[in-house]
Amino acid sequence: MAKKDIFDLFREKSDELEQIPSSQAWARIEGRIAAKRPRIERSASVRKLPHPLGIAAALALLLGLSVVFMWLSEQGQTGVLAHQQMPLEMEELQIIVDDSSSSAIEKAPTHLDITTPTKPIGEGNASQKLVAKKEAFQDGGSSPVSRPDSVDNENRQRTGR
Amino acid sequence: MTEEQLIAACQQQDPLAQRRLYETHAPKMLGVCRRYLSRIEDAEDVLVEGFCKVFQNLDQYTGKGSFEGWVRRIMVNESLMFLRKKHALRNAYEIQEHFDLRSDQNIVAELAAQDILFLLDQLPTGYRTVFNLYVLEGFKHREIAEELGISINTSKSQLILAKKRLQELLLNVNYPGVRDRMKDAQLGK
Repeated sequence: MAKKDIFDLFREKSDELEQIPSSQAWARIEGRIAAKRPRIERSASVRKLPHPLGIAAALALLLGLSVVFMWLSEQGQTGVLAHQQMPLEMEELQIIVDDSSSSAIEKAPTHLDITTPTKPIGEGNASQKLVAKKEAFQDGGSSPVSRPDSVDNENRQRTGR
Repeated sequence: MTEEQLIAACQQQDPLAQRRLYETHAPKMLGVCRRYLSRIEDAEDVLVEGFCKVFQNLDQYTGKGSFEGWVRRIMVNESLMFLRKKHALRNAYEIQEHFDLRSDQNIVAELAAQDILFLLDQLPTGYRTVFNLYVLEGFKHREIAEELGISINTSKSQLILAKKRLQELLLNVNYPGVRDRMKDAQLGK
């Protein structure tokens, strides 16, 4: 019979003290570590679940953007964009007036003074108003009609020299 | 899959890898917990707490030293914490008398693993804890004293008393027939 110290004896055998845990043990562990999985996954932005606060923030952002967009569109109608497109609007409105309905006149903006147009009405019907605007454009100086003449005059002056 | 790959997958919160890591180490770690605690239900409670901490603190494992040793240390700490909560370590005391333990009294040829549990269960909690930490975990008396909040001399005394009690138990049960005596004792209950 070999002689061994009692400490050595316990050391040799202690690693053999394996026992299979019950099935509930893993279920308890998994229940606790699974509850903490989403926090870590959220940082990786993988399989991210929407949070109630996130949904509220998204709705608030959407609402804010829509309000800003509506405000900008209102500004655009009465602001710089409206001024830039004023001639086109005048043409359209004047055409409507000339065609018929008085209800359209009521809806039209007052500052355009559609009921008593000065220049366009005196020149004829709706199709002629566009011509009148071209004339106004020609009055600016460089008209396509007078240009050849002026060129010819210049050439004549050059050749005359 | 190597152990490093398994640990890395667990750090990425892979459920299958976590299950596999648990199944690999759980039986041995339950044996560790059981050495400190007499009731298997308590040992399993500690095992659950320990594995939760293993998974929660897996990033702190740097790869230095064996992973099993790292997990084992967590299980030992959890076992000691459980005993502290139960106030099971309060009765540790320092003995004044000196026991002369002759080496030829420490003689046994073989001891079955389950007999070790039977013998440990016969020890008072203080003896058992110091014995486990010193003999099976390789702690120094200074480390045991810090861990349990006792003096170094108390740690030494507890170890001597544990050894003496185990020798008596082995002699009384007429080892190697200890298993038969253990069965008789269980039947007698």
